[in-house]
Amino acid sequence: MDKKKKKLSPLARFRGFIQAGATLLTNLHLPNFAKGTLYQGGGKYVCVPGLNCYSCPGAAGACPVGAFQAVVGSSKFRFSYYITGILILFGVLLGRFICGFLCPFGWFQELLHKIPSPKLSTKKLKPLRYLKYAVLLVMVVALPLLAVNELGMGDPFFCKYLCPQGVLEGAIPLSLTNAGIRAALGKLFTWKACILLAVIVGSVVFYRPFCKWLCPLGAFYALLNKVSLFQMRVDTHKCVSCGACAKACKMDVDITKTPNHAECIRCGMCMKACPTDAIQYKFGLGDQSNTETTKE
Amino acid sequence: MKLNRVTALLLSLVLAFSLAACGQGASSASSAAASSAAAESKTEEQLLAEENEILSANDALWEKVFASMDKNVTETTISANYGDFLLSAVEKAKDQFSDEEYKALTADAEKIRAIEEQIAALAPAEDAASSAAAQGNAFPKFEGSDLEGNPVDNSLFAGNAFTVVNFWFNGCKPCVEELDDLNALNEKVKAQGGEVIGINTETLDGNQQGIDAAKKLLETTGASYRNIYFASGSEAGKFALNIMAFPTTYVFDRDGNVVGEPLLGGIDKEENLAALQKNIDAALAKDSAK
Amino acid sequence: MFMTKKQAQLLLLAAGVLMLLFGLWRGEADTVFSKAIRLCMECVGIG
Repeated sequence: MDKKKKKLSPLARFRGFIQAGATLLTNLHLPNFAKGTLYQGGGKYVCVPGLNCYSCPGAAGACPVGAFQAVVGSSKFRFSYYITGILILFGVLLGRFICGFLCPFGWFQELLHKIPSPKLSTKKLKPLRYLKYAVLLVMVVALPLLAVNELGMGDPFFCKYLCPQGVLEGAIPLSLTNAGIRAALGKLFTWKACILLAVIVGSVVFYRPFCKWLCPLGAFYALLNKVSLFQMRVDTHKCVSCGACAKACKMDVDITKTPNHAECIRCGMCMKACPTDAIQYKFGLGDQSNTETTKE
Repeated sequence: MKLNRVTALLLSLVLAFSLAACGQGASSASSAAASSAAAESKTEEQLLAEENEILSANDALWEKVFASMDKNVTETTISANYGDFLLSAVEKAKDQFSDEEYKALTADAEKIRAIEEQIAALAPAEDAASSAAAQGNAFPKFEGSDLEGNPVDNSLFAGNAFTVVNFWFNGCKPCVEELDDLNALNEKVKAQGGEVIGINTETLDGNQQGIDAAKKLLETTGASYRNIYFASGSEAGKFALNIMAFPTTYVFDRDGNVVGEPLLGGIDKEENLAALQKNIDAALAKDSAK
Repeated sequence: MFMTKKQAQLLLLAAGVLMLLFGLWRGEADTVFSKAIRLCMECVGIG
């Protein structure tokens, strides 16, 4: 107890910097923003962990959701083992830690949430969480696979009709520097700009609305959150059941009941709120969520 | 918490600044290009004016020189450095002048020769065409072939009143979906002396896999217009690989110059077809005005 | 419970690696690459 507040993990303490660094690394090719071109190097063979449009001028890698749909929607393949494999590895190793620390769009929503305004709780909107699984199944997997033309080519439905990150990182910066792209902006752009605007306004009043309700990548990582090597541990000996953690959680999770809940993005707000330092990050095989011993 | 806010603010500022910097960078670059172009043409004019000044200073003497040389002027002497040409003329008419007059004339001619060299050092006129190509205003010189292996080069443009060039690749759904529309367009514009050409970026360098896939797609969509490829390392290859949005459709005139703004998006959409038609009409008007 | 968390993790990691390799082997990475280096107009919401 005497070491109070000293034990807060540096991960949680410097989360903002890690998010900024991850966003910069995934969009490393900054001069391309001015040139209005895309990076075309080997990095684009691999996908990045977070939701980051590969049509962003700065993007250093492929978007996992976009890449999955591109493979499924191509005439050559009907499923992407390559991307699924990468996502399983990301998910089992880190789970939704990716959402909390590495995803550029998650960070974007968090920054918007810092804008002063009345903040609304999402606790009563919990059923909307299941929407993102439907987005994953229908828009990312089923429609690109099944709604194909005579040549077996499908559209990336999530990218085309829903993803606000594509407008934010792709359409807007490219149309600023490229007159041809500006001329090509049509109804689809208007629709998706409205979605982006809704997400922006929503992010100011709610905490990470897109992550909670719509993001198919978040849905995939959520499925693996329970088994991810990166996990939360609640020290039952230290816990005084004060409920401060559940109150602090902006993803509406009670960590003492479900330490590795599908919605937990490992942001560490509960750790900061805990008066007894009972909550910790753990990384390793097996279940480390509840302590029987305090041995390390 | 506070730290977070500060970093957030800082980062958003950095973002805002970098965006602003982008805008400025682009505009200042283009204005710099414009002003340097202006400086170039001005210098050439100035230099020519200087030459005239030199000649008019010794007007009477030069009149004599010009009068003497009528007979010996040939095409070859004129195309050489004007200073050299004057020097030789003065040399030939030497006996008509006093020593002092001769010295003044040769000095003038030497000066003019130096100025001529300066003018020659400026971008020669024929470079203007290739720099237009570098800026993407004209299709670069190329030697390639169609997907059947028949050789194709720039003469392709001269043979048509206008040429519609569509850039595509095999994995591009909107590109593949407009292939039949492009074929219909090709049939339609044949009567107007136009042609539709496809360039599939996956067939560059004669990539056999890409060619096979492209042929299959063209066949299934019933497209029979010419598709061509060339070396990816050539100027034309760079032109094609610089295109990043697909499909992109250009209209070129008889000289291989771009007409209007290239169209992004498939012409299976009505508004896109209308935009392309505008470029075609402009190219036709330009061609018939010649 | 017929499988411990540790077993599930190891199984999933192995599955992930195998799927990745299988996908690479059948050339999916080229499809990803060719899509990722070009502007996907329908992806970003242009036309």
